[in-house]
Amino acid sequence: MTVDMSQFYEVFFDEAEELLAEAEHLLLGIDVESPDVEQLNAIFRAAHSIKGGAATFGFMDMTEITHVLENLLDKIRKNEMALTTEHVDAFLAAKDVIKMQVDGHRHGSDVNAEQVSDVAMMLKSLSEGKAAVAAEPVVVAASAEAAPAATAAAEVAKTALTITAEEKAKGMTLYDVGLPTVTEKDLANLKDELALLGDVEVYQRSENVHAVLIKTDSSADDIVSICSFIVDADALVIQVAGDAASEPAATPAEAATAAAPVEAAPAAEAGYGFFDNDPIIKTETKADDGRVQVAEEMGYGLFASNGEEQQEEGYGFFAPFKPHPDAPKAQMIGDDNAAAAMAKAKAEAAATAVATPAEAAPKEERRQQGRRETDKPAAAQSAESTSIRVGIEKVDQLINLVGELVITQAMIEQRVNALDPVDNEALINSVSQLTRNTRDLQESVMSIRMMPMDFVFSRFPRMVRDLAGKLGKKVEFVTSGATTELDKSLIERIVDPLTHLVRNSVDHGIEKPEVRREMGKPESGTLTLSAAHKGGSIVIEVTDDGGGLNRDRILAKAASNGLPVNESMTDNEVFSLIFAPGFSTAEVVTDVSGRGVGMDVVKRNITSMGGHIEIRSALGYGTTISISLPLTLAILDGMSVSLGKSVYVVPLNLIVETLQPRAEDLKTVTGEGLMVHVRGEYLPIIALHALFNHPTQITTPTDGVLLILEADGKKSALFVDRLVGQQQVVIKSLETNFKRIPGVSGATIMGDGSVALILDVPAIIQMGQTTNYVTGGMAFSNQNYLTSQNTINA
Amino acid sequence: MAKTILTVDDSGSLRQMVAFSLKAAGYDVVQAVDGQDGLNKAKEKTVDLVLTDQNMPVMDGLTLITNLRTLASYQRVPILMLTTESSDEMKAKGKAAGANGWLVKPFDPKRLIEVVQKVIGA
Repeated sequence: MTVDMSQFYEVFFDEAEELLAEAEHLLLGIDVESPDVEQLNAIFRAAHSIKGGAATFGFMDMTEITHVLENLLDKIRKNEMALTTEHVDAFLAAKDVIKMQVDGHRHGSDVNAEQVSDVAMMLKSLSEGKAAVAAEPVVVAASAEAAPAATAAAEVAKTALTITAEEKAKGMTLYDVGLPTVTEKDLANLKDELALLGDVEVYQRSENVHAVLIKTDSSADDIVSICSFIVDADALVIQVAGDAASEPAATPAEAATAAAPVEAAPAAEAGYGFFDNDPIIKTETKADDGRVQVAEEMGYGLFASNGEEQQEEGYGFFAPFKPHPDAPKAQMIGDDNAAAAMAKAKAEAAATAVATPAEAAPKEERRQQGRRETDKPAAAQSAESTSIRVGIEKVDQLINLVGELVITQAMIEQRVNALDPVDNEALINSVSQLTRNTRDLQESVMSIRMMPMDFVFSRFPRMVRDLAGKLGKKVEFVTSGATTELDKSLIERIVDPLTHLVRNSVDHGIEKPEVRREMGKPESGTLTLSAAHKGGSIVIEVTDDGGGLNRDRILAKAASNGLPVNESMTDNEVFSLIFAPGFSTAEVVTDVSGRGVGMDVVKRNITSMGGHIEIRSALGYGTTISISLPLTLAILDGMSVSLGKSVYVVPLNLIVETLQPRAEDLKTVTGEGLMVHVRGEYLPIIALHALFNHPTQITTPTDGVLLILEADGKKSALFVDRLVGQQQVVIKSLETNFKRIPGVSGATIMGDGSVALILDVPAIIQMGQTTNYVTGGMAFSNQNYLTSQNTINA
Repeated sequence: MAKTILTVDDSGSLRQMVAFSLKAAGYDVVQAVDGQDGLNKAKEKTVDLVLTDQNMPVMDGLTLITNLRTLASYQRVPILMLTTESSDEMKAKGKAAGANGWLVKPFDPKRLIEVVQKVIGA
């Protein structure tokens, strides 16, 4: 049977990346002083799993480094070595290298071999640093011990390459690799390749027949896979030099030592003494023949290979490698035969105390065999692949089609609602069913593209840590809103700008510990990365409690760069100057940032995504850079409200309540305009018709409806004509087709095909606070609004 | 009716590889992601063979084996450990816990099937 391993590669890569990310996350959170054992175990397990997979799927380069990594981790988790920050750094570096290798195998990207070997060296030296007491081989003893071994493995033993007991104990093995007839050039190549694994020596066995001695901690599989590039792997004869199995004269002590490199054992085709010499089997098993049989199989073993033990322990019944006559067989018999099977099993003299309950227990459930049959495949599949990879264009097409479907469905619903409900009851019921289904479908389809911000955020803890270390700063990194979901395409495009902003904050924002101390701040600065939905946008903020932007310095710098500036500019305008190309106020250009490229690129990136970027800063207290991105492709639960002949959509989550005010609840407050008294609060009334200068018949709040809106902690009452209904709408960005309009966050296509604008509630509340739009005939220009309507309808 | 094998491994890729190979060889396969999951699945249906990894979160392989052996229905079900660690110490522990044998990782599917066939037949 052959199994194409490559079909599991993707799963393995995904898994390896997950494990690496998890390991990194754990490493960043680990307390070096008193590490949590569970965390260490989890990190160890990650390395271990990657190693296992890499070995199984033949990614030997990864096996090597994970092996060293695992060894070191093992020592630490077993308390043989104390965890230091050097270790953590080395582990993180190893993570990077392994990730690079994964990428190399997966996408064919470049793998920096030097970096790999550097990290491997670093790990090795750390690993040997404190644990390996007798690392240096004792030359005399070594040659004395290894000589007979080498003779046994190979006819010719005229070689200087030997292996010491200490080396063996450390997992090194001396292999003797018999080669087919090869050219000089191939031989040289082979030697070079194998030298990557360890010490190599080529010797001649006879004319044209060469063999290679190699001392390595890699497995025989590694050797085969390396050789297979140059020679036919099947023609290789690999033996463990000094192996007791092929050297009967070896002392027991030596044999036991040879058994140590267990990882090498499964691969080779000959000379696996360690099963034979397994002290456990030796001491506990009396019959030898079973053992020998096992040993021939290489790489696995079966305990309890003789009859005596079988009876004593009761589970070694497969000594002749056949199913035990009772238990497993009985279990395969169907329900109608269950009783007979019981009797039969008993009659078969296997009526031990354990066998009977073994059968009795499953008898009940076997009553429903038909059901079991259907359950079983489901159970088996549940643990299988939980994700599939689909091209993004397929998902996009799906989303577009569903968007169309939603609109069509809304049209049908509208038509059906105009029909006589009695005559068309069945049709109406079906359509309302369709409505629900469509909504569910749309939700699921939209969620395919949405990814939590965590995908972006998760890369930063490491970056901040490394940066802070490099710059000699102390930074505490905090994230919030990591579960906020954003469209995948936006997620990918936000990475670079965010990276830049975070880097800037660490480099220029947060001060060095001594500076912070002088200023009476905690030594450790705080960098916060947050994401939240706000008024139909995603707002991502990078906040630091560092020095803040220096207005004067920015002005001076801008002036010297020839930018038009003057003292009367607002802070906002001044801060925006840093987005000008080639602008940098940093006095020291570090290798991290400050070369004057960047902020303009950040701004350009954000703008190209239809978002905008804002800076808030207070000198001495820190800076917040706020990116707000439109929710393209997003859907919104909205309340449709009518105003004159138009319909507007208000995000449902921002509506606290709706009410029709009584005349006595309306109060005019000097300087505040018209207020409504709701549950003990006076809220300003913003008349939408006045705000948008939109003609309508209803101009007194008592004739219309008030929507109590809340955003950013502020409440206002929005005065509209009527409530139309609640529905889910597909947001279409206005900014991509037209431009940003104050008070409007987007548009949507309604069921009848008309366009409705989606209100930007926070902006409206803001606008309502700055100007009173109740009295009508406002200064607000209706130019934008009218033009936008035309554009959409066009 | 095909024999059912429970394979317990926290590594999805290895588990899938094992499952695929076993299915290709005509066995039914139940998969579990850790020892606890394995124990639950083993209780749901008594299988003909258990293949378990050692190093797993939640419950490791040895604990799983120990637990399985306390179940009446698993007194005689063969259990093999698939492990990278095949030190004498590990073998001793495995045997003490009630394992019937071990198979060292990495292994190729062919060897796996060979071993499985030896233990429970085709």
